[in-house]
Amino acid sequence: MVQFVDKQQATKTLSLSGETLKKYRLQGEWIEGIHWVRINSRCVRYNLELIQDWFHNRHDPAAHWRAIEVYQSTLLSNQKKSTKKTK
Amino acid sequence: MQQEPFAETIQDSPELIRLERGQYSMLLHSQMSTDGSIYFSLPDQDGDLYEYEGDLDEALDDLPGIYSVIALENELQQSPTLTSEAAIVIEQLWSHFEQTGTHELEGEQDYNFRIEDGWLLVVPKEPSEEVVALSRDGQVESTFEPERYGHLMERCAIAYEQMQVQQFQRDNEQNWELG
Repeated sequence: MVQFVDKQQATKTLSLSGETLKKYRLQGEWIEGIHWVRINSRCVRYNLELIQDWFHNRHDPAAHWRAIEVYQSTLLSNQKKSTKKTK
Repeated sequence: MQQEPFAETIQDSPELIRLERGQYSMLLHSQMSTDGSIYFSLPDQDGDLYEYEGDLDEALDDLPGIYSVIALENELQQSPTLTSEAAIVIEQLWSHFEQTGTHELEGEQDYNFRIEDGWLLVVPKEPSEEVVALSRDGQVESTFEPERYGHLMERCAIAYEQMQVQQFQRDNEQNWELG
């Protein structure tokens, strides 16, 4: 389950460093469009809730995927979309 | 970190510094940020962290653009809409499918089109799960990332211009024939 924490709590809990973020992003450990998105050519945005879950469930990928699915289901665009059109 | 002379600074916490550029604000993660990468959050956006390749001055300059992308994201999540040019191009596509009875059309550039369950689907040519679905009565549903959706609207604008040029040429030819 994704835990929603405020940004200050999240950064402190994860003890993030810029190097850590870049490493996991560039190594492909984190999925573009899910754990991070590119805003423009110089800016990316990290989803700290999912990254926190990734650390927590690092050795249980199935659990992490459930968290991803929960997160995606909360998006407005998915809430109103039926399942018929993607194939 | 050295404060920018043009930015109003408000100390939120030992780690977060609020910087404002006009109407736009960022919460700078000063301890994380280095010479080459700036890390910041945006007010009222819990759970997101931004990484900017560049210095603080450049990040502040880009802040309006970043806000713009986020606003577009929110808009698309809530209600994707077609530009007026895209609506005309899509209408042309509907007409094509209705007149030919076909269900698939390969686009010339980046997208293909097909009819499925009464919806007109726009799908990228490159392998992707993303799709824009359009109903005949004007509903739009999209799983495109904002950048791709913007690109699709740009492609539609180009296609619309080409349609206008073709129409102009046809009109000219007709005038010659009549003359």
